[in-house]
Amino acid sequence: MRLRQGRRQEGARTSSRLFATYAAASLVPVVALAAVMMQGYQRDAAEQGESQGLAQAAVIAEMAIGPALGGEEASGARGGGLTDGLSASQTEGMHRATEHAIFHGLVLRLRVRSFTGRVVFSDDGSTSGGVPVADPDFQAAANGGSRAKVLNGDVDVIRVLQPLITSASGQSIGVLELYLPYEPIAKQLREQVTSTWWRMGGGLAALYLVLALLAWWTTRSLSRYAARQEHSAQHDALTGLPNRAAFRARAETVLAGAARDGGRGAVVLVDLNRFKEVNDTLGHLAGDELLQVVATRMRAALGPENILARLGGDEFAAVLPGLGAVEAMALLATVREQASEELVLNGVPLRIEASFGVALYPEHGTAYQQLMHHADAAMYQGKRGTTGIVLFSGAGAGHPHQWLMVQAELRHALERDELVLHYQPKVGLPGGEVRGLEALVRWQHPHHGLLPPGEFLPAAEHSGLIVPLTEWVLRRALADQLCWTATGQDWALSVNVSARNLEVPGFPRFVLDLLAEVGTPAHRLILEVTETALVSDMDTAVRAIAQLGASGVGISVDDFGAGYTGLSQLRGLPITEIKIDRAFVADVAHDPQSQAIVRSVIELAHGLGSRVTAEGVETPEVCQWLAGVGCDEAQGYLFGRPVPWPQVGPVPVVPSTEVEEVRR
Amino acid sequence: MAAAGVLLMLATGACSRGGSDEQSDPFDATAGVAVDRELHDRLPESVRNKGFIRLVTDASYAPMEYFAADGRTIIGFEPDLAAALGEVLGIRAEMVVGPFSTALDDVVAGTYDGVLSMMTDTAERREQADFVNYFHTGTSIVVQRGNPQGISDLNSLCGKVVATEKGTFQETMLRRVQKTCGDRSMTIADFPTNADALVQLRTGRAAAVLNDFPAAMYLATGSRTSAFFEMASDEQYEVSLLGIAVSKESSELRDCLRAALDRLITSGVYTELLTRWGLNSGAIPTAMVNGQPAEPAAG
Repeated sequence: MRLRQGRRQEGARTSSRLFATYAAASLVPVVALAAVMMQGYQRDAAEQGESQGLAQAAVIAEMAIGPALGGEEASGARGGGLTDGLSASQTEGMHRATEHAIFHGLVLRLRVRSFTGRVVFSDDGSTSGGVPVADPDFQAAANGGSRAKVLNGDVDVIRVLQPLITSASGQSIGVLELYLPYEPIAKQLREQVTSTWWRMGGGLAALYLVLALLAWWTTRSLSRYAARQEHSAQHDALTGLPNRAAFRARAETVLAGAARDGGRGAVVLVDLNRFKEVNDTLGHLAGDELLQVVATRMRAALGPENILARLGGDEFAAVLPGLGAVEAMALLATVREQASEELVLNGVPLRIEASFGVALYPEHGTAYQQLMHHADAAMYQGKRGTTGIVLFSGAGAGHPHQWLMVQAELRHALERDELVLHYQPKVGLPGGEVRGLEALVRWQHPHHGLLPPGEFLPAAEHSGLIVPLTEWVLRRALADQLCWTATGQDWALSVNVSARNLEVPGFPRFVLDLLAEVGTPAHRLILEVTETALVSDMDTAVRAIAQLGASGVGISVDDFGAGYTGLSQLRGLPITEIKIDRAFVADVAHDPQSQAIVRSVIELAHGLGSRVTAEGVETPEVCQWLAGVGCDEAQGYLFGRPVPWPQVGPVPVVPSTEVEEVRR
Repeated sequence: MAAAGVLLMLATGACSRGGSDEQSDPFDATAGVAVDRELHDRLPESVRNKGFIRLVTDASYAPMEYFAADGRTIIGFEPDLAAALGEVLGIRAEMVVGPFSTALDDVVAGTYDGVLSMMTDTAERREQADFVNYFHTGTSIVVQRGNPQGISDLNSLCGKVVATEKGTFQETMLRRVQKTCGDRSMTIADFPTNADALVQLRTGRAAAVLNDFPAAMYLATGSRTSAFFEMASDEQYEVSLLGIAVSKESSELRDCLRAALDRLITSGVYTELLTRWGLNSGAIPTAMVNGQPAEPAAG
């Protein structure tokens, strides 16, 4: 939680920094635009002021000064201009024409200059002062141009130099130098500039506001998008739990913290049992729904302080920081209980079990990988057993890493003939005579001694070695059967066949060929298949079963009741035997529900034309009850543990009196 | 004298053919103009010594001669013609602004070397000076646009105020018409320049102004003036020759100017200059003095 909050704060910081950058970046062009526009406008205003000055001067020159200096005296005769000065009448005319304008301040200063620069008339009578002849403005005016220039001083003045034209023929006779008040013009321009400032400033501010809003909106969307991306990169889309990568990161953080602070805790791997069956039978949508429900339940049961992630498929993982072995196991028991509560998928009520493998830190390691391996090993151990939650117990566990070794060694074992077959008798009820033997494989390991199937069969199943292994078992068992037949025993032979065997094309042919080879009648061989084999990849498996059954080979459904066999799947199959799972048999003598189930199964099997065999019969009491309800055969320690076939001895006789009691 | 004229022609032709100083300037459209040494040498010594002649003009008569926008430079057909003449003669021909009414007197007095100001070559004036003829045209009546006073011909000017430039041929024309008006008396207002007279017309103080046809046409069609002026009719009255008035004392200058003008006419420069100013209608086939071709002038 703290972690997530921290990340959110960091995201907000990044986002606001990005926004600030955007805002600053968009401010630059806005300000630049404002500066350029304002500069241009001010320049335009200044030019406008100058042209106003020029226009005023032109009017003054044409309407007042031209006529005053005009007349016969000025025209033509003065081809060279005003070099000789003005005549008295011209001077008088000039005074009369300009004195009021000068007196009222419409003209601040006025000079009439000859081309050589001589002042031939001025408003105050002086003949000095004025613009130097070398001044570009003067030169321009002497050559017919008009120039205006604003002079900034105590009072702003606009100076105009223009050609002095006094006759209709357009002849220029000198330069007119005029100084006009600029203040009224400047005031008008200032007002214009000010109002433009406000209008433009407002417009640009609005523009900037829009840009800033856009930037804000964009950064917000971006940061949200980034957060979403980050979330989906770290979370499983189906369940919303962290994914494998995120789990690893978080787990490593927790582990590092624990290593630093001396903390402890547990790493847990969870795998749903028989999930594949749900997926296969009810469809992937149901499978997904199941995963969601289980994930929600586990998440709720674990509480917020623990990390739960989905690693993929039906595999989950958890880190329980701060918990010791006892607390972890207690918590996981609750989790398991809640996760396996009944749920209804597609109208089918079902209960899903999960296997938990637990590794503790620092006891079992401090590195993530190591702990995960250990938890994995423990989980597989759990999958094979019945406890469901297995705490890693060090060496000896069916470590997945060891599987590779097991697989390699098993290959050699097949070649070196290290495998041996033990047989467990199946007896008839109520007589107790041995009717058949179930072949069970053992591994006489050169270093580890005699290994039970649980030690190596999962690895074989996993790798495909199960196919040669089963073939080996069939071959050896049929050979053994020949032997005991030779000693006068007509015991049938039961061999366990995995779903993978049935899926191999040509398996029925192999079996039948083998039977023919050893000369054993098909009915003396019973192939035991699990319910799983009937449902997984049904077509191939079902066809194989049908073919074998049609050839007379007995087909037995092993562990019936433990799985999810639909009754419809039994229909139409040549089932010769149904073996009731030991779970129902164990307490059948006392538990009315188990009794009801067993009775129904027996009835069902008989109805389908099959024999019924009860597995795991360990007490005479159970045996009697079973015999009483019409169970055909029984198997279990009561009648003998798996042993090499020559050691299969006579089985204890079941007293028939107790059968009567049970019946009552 | 005829022989001398022929000799002159030959001499100039020979000079032109054999002239080593004839330069053709690729950047000058009037490259046919070249200094004629022979003519140059025939100029009066005083002119040769100072290297220029001064021709007085009243620059208020577009497109013949008027002020450029700067108010100081004189432009038009006549300044161009003067420059070309100067080039042939190997001297500078300056245009100087002066009042028209006294121009002839100033030339007689020796103030200027000649008048080049669209001056009509009249018998009266020939008493004072000789004319090197370069153009011919008649006189047109210029009125306000729309002709509010309904002027149709010279007689309809009777009873009106007519403005004119002082001392012009048009003024004398008006005086003649004035005498025929009887009790509908015509008021003739004369002004120092043609522009001043046009101001009177523009401001409604005069009903008409008489101008030479090219100047009248220019007023009636120019972009700045056509909004205010038009010609009363297409009629040209009293078509006459115009000429550069030269003092009778300066016959060498007069003959040199005539010869130089002939050179311009034969080389095409004359036509080129007329075309530039839209004056082809006033062209004359050969240069004359006092209305006579070379022989009588030379005689």
